[in-house]
Amino acid sequence: MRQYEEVAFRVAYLIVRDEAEARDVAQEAFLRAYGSLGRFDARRAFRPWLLRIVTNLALNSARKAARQRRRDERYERAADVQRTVASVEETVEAQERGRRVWQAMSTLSADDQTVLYLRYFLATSEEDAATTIGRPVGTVKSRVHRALGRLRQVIQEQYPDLLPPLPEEMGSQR
Amino acid sequence: MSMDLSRELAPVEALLRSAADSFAYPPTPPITRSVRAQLVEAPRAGSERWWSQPAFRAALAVLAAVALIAGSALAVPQSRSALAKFFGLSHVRVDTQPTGGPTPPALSPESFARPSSLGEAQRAVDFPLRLPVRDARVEPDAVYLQGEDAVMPVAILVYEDYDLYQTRLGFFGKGTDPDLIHEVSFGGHDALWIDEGGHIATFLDEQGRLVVESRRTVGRATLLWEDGGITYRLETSLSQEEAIVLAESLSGT
Repeated sequence: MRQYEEVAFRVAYLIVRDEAEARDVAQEAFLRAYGSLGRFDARRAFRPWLLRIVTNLALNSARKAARQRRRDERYERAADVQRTVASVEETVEAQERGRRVWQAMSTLSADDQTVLYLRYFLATSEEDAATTIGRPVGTVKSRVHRALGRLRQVIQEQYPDLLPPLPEEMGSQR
Repeated sequence: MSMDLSRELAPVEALLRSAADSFAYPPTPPITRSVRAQLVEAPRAGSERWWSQPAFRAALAVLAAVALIAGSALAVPQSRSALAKFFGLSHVRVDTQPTGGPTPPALSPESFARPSSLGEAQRAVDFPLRLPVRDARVEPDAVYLQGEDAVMPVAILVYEDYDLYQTRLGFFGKGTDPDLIHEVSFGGHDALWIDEGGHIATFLDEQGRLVVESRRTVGRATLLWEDGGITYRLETSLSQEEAIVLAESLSGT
């Protein structure tokens, strides 16, 4: 169980964006997994099955709008502190960049966020991501593609410095 | 996916990978400990209500009838192997529900295995037997072979303060309260330490079925781990720390 502790907590944290809430979600997921072992097909991998429980619980939690707003306010206050630290510590620059990407991702739908977290933040295979979200592999591929497109649009509009300009844009600037 | 990405999306993908590499996650809290604590409390809290329900008693009677019909061929549900994965081992299952029915006797190897020798035991199994370094220069006090007619026999090396089981079979433990089980690790192996106090041990065959005749009560503490497809089981009066040192010292014969 310990080997899944970190990934369960991290995927929960990415989705609910609150440390205490992520811990509660991960704990609840383990308890539900334990209680549902009778329905688990032992021929399949345990990790994506567990992640499916975690992501479902985390998404339910994140959908509670009022709590989400309170968390966002707390998060913004914490982020202000972190930005101050980042200006002091050069090594935090990359983390700050990651935080801003994460912030940009918060504008995407829950489904888009989930599939991007699974594929890029947790390095989950397409097959395991498909099991986790309960959709075919083809759906994962198309959803990732669409989510990347939407994320690019958000970044271009709100965080343009995160992306390098395209070659044609560079050409037009000359 | 990368190959299919359009030129516009490739930088976004690179940005995500970079963000993922540098993302500052909060430290992972000790979830395992709190989950285990809740698992211990939950059955105790609900057990009286369940047992007192007429519907539950009726269901129990049906289950008992099914078990009688199935007899000794009754297999452990395959899904229970998830429990092993839950505890980090793939050939070990630990059922933490309260023990029902009569408790099997506490048997020593001479009661269920045939006396053998180190050489014969080595020929009987298809993997190199391993001996603790501290005892490698001396023969075990006794060697036993269990299930030698089966595809996967069990070699049992008996020393003064421990019995070391080595097999390709799995292991099933029952009647063990979750708070008696401790996840430990050493030498890159996940392992389970079951405190002394009596759990029921049964080996599993290659199909994951209980080897009924191997069912017995184990009074001593037990260290369980896997390495290279082999399940090692150390039943011992040593402390957990001493047992782990012993396990780490295993070397080939």
